[in-house]
Amino acid sequence: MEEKNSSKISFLLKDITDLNAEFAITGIGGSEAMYKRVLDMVIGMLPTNIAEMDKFLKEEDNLGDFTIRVHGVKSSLRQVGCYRLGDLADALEKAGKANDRQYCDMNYGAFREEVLRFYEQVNSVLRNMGNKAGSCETPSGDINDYIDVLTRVKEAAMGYDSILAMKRLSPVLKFHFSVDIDELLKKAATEFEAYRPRKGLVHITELLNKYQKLSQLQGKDGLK
Amino acid sequence: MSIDSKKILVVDDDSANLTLIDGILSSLYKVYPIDSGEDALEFLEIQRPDLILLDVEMPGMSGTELFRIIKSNPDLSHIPIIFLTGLSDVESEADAFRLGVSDYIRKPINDVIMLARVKMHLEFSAHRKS
Repeated sequence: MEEKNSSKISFLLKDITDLNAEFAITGIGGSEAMYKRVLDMVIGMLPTNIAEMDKFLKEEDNLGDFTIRVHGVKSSLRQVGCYRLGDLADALEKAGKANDRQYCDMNYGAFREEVLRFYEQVNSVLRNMGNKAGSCETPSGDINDYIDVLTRVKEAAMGYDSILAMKRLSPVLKFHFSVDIDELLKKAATEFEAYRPRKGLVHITELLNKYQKLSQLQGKDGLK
Repeated sequence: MSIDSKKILVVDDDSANLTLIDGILSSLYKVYPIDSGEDALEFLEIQRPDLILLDVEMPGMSGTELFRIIKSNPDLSHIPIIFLTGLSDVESEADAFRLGVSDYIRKPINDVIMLARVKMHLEFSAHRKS
């Protein structure tokens, strides 16, 4: 199903002149689905990366952090096949490393504009492809079932296994519980998706405490 | 393909890269993606990976700093470490080998190169142990 939905991505992106999606897809084994997943993440992170580059460049004596962020953007752009903008980032990175603030100040604005244009173009294609919207079903089953699921998520997170934690958490995400619980679930999922298992663990532990209290209020057994 | 019991720790601040590497390796190995050097050190307190793929340029603790810490720990120093880097100059590559890395993989990541290097170093490490 996933393969079918994303199978046209190289075709849909073909008019974006700065993007050689086909070449990038070949470099990761020809999987359009994997490419789309990576592209979604790269595009999703660009606004944050731009905001950070803006902030770091404005700060006095912080060319180092600016350079590290530019380096990350360069790698991401090249990974998805955006080589020309990757080269512009490379020039900024080299200038940053050489402590050439003048070059960075003079050229960052034009680079930023091009990256934003690229972001808009790709984001528009991704939006039109219809990224799945999460449904909001009402939870069913015993509260102890959720405690059991979250306990297994917690075990995975304690073993630093973000992927397993996310896999175990996913079935619960489609349900709507309450605003605070939904928020915690979302936060935990965000951390696991960003491969930060310890931060995800904090939210899962808080969720488990809430469920335990709920379970006790309902007069049922909580966690051992 | 069956999953090998070998564990690979991947440290990179870019979650898109972690997703990609997991996508390339997870059908063969157990992959642990971690987004910072600090969290990787905590991971190493409870797990012993067979190989580490380590991004060089990261905010906070850099790959080079993490490499030095791992190699100065007798319990961890045997683990082969491959640097991942978007740096394309020869001098950076030479610096990495002078530092003592097992190998060096350039970004953009290519699946064939990554699979071949990982397999080679795991086999090399297994031979050394035996």
